[in-house]
Order: sequence, then structure tokens, then C-alpha cells
Amino acid sequence: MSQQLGILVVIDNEAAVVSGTLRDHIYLIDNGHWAGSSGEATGELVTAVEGTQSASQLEQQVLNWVPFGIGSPPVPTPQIAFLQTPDYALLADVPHPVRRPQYFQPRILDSAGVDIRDSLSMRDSGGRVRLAGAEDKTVYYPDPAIINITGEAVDLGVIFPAQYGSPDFFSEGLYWSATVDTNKVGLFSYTMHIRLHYSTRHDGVVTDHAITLPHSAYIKVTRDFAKNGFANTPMILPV
Amino acid sequence: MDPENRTEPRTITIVAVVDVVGILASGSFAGSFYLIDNNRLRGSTGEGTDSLVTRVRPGDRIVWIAMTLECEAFASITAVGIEKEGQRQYCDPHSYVYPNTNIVCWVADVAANAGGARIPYNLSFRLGSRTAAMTTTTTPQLDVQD
Repeated sequence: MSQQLGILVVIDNEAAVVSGTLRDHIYLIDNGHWAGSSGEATGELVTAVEGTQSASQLEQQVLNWVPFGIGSPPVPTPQIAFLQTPDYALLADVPHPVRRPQYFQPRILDSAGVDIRDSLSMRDSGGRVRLAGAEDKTVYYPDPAIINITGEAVDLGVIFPAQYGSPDFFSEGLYWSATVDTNKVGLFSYTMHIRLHYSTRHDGVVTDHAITLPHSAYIKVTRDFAKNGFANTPMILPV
Repeated sequence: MDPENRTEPRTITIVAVVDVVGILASGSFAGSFYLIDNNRLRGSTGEGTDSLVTRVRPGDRIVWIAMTLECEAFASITAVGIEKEGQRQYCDPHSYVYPNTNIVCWVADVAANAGGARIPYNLSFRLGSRTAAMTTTTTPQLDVQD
């Protein structure tokens, strides 16, 4: 049974595209500060991973990266029994998940092949309708996409990352996950390659753009035992 | 930056990231609560801390949303409280449901006469299976440009 560690990758898309860098516009937060992670909510996160000193070591610790763009509508909240009565009223209509395009929206062509996006009104995350028009404009799509994870930690076989599919709304169906070889104690860097999308309308012509920016963070594998959270005891096999 | 957007009212999103397990285990938000907005280029400070100062202009719309670190954890904002009663005329947060969905966020429009105001606020959340809401005690604020 693996311990799932989550790393939230929060990105201000517009600021990163305009500045040409993710530095100062990416905030990494993991759920391991109790295990010794540092740099929470900065670009310099050091994710602490405890060694487990037990069998099946390569599957014990799993890192999951979840990208989130500031300015996206929120992830649908799971339907659970904790809802109070006023919230049930909100469920009177059949709920539809809010569309959170991970990639930029395709052009919508009418039967003559003309892009009709301009005549559609779209809402931003605050519910305000953005008026269609013909003036020059740039639209930054808030959702970032991680397209690769490379670097020292991968080259040395400390982490084994891959992209996975999931029906879970939380990750919009795609996320990166990596098992950790906790035999390799030390501090290692890894690099995320993140793609950001934006579209420009100039002289009536819409052009879609994407830019891929790298950002590096760290993982620190320690000799500490993973702990059972309920009993605060080390999870080791009896000797 | 799009020069024409300089005078258009903007929608500024404030993401409240909560470590639900950390908050429920310790009974406090300290070390488990982070605020981030998308207005750093125009003057917001304290990004990623529990005392974010969000730079806004009169006419801007502010949106608060909650985000958890694990998909299994439940968190929802139950209130955005403007601490100083006299400032509620400048900014009156209310809940908003995205049309045809059950997704709730909190929005507030910055009033046209709010120029120069510094508006502290707190956030109340329902977390996990705890029925009573918990309220933050730090001092995030809206900093309204003149």
C-alpha cells in the first residue's frame, strides 16, 4: 500500500507568458510538511520523502503532480454526505461539471468554415460575460499542462515519472505520477516542462499560441521511517 | 500585456489552498493555509502566505475559490467576512453558483468609490466532515488603487 504524496502546481498563466518565465509565477505546495518538506507555496519546494526500509520499496512512496491555473473555475467539489440542507437546494438541477479545458479550445467553425467564436459570449471565472468584439485582444487560457518531467532525479533513477489518465475531476483526467526509489537518500532536483496556452486576435485573425517553460524543484529522500499517521509509529516489518 | 486591458475592469481570482488534514489535525490554519492571486504583476504582495495583499482597482471583480491538496478531502468556503463594517459598502462578497452547475464560489465587486481603501477580510471554511465552520485569523486584505 503506497503513501500518496500530492504536489499542487499553481500557476499564474498570464503573468508567466507575459514575463517569459515561471519564476515568481509558480507556487508549489505539497502535503508533506509534516514529513519535513520546505518552501511551501514558493517556486523552491523541497518535497521530503521518507524511506520505508521495508519490502517493495520502490512502490512505497508515490508523488502526484496536479497543475492548477489561477483564474480557472474551481474543481467540482465531490458530492458527499457532509452537505448541509441549503447546499442540497443547489443540487436541484442536474449538476454538470464546469468545462475546464486543459488545452486551448478548438475553433468553432460554422458550415461556411468561418470561426464563430467571436460571436459567442463566454464567462470568465467570476461569472462576468466577456463581450465579443473584433478589436485586437489576447486571451490567456488559465489551465497549465505538465508535458514532461526530467532532470537529475529522473536520470539517477530516484523517481520514475509518467503521465496517467484518470476519470477524477480533480486532475481533469491527466496527471503526472512517479514512484520513488527510497534507497537513494539525498537531495535531487527535477524539472517540470509546463505548457501554457494563449490566443491573440489581430486584425480580425485569431492565432493560437503555446509556450513551454521549464521549472525545477527538489525532492529530498531521507533515512526516516514512514509513519503510520494514526499511531505515529514507524511502518516497518517486524524483524 | 494588452494595453487596452489596462482600463477594463478585471476579474481577479484568489485561490485559498487548504491542507484539510493538517488543519483538522492541529485545530488551526497555521502552516496549512496559503493564498495566491493572479495579480502579482500589478502589485499584489504576500503571494503564497496567509496574509496576501491583493491589489485591485475600483470596478474589478474578486473571486475566491478553495483548493485542497488531496482529491479525497472536502473543503468549501462558507463566508468571506469583511472585518470592518464601514467597509462593506466598498466590497460585499456573496456566493455565486456557476450557471447549470452546483459549483459555488464567492465573488465581490469593488465599488467605484473604494479608491485608496485597504480592506482586511477573513475566510470561513467547512472542512472534511466537521460540521462547524472554521474561520481564519490572519490578515489578508484587498488594497484598492486610487
